[in-house]
Amino acid sequence: MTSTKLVLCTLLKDTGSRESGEQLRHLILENLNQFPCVELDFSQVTLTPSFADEAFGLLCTHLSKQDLNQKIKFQHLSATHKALLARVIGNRFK
Amino acid sequence: MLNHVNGWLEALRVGAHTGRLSCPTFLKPYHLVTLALMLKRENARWLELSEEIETYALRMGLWAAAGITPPYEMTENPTQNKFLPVAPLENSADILSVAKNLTQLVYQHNLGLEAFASVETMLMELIENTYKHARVQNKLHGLVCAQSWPKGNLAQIVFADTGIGIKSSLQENPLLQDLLSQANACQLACQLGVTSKPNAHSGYGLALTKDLMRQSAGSMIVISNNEGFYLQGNQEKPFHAPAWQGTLIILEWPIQQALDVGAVYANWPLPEGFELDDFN
Repeated sequence: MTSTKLVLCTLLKDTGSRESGEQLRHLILENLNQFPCVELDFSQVTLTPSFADEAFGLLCTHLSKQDLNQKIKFQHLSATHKALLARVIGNRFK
Repeated sequence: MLNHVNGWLEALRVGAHTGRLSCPTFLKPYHLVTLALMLKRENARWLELSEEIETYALRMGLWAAAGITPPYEMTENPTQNKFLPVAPLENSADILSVAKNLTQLVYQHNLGLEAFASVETMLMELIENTYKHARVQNKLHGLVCAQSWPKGNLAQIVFADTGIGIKSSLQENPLLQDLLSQANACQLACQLGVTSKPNAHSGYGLALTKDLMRQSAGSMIVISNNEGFYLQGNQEKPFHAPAWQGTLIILEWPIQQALDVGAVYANWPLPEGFELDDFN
């Protein structure tokens, strides 16, 4: 198997707190130890900037930007969430 | 609104010493939250209000929030206005449910799901802030209270705590030491990227709230100790506030105006080398 899928709305108690963001970050890293690629399904969730920073921004200490683009796939991401992730992840990776 | 809030906080300060308080005849959520916290702080055992505001204050849970036996038990009596009685923020696992309850109070169905998500995002950030930054001594992280007046096209949501306050929190960031000696801490805390924990946090919550209130021509008041920040539409100003031990945040905006968090993000700087297509 070349990838695994994490569905946020079924995995996390919320997508607003840093605690949940940290939980997702650990899940992503654990899964990247077993699979070359992780797919994240964002359907039916509302992300806060703090959650996104904790879950994805702080991946900067583990992954390069190139790794992030290649190993993590974002599914069902709204235009609003794309705008958020570009800024939050960019701030940490810059 | 600013003059009313300042006048009320001064009245609370005096009332805490004298035991007598001059209350307005029309109470809003900020009156109830701050009065409940003051009564708790002073370990008050008894509260009597004038008849004209007693029923409303009872329905809004003032006695319960202050830990005082109410004058009588309130029976359910639905009103056209929608409100959340004064409620404690005690369990950080409740962020989503508290935010959803508050959002449903102020959400207008004709505005669409994006507007719902925008309010929810703002409130989750503010609730998280209360848990992460207030650092209160007891288990009570803070109080929240809200009311919407659909016929008046207005909502007010208030968060208050008796924690360490904004300036003490920001002083933990060595990069802000010089700035804090000159700047108003409440105004500074509302700027994007200003945080007490530069390695762990990023300073999004209050900045996002300020941008959404500006977008909707709403009002935002942030008060902590003797410092305050006031936003009304496009106008903003720092001010010297009557003492409030902890942090008080008051939001008031026209509920028929859809909040759009996507437009706020679009105005935040996009770091070089990053594009929206990165996340397709």
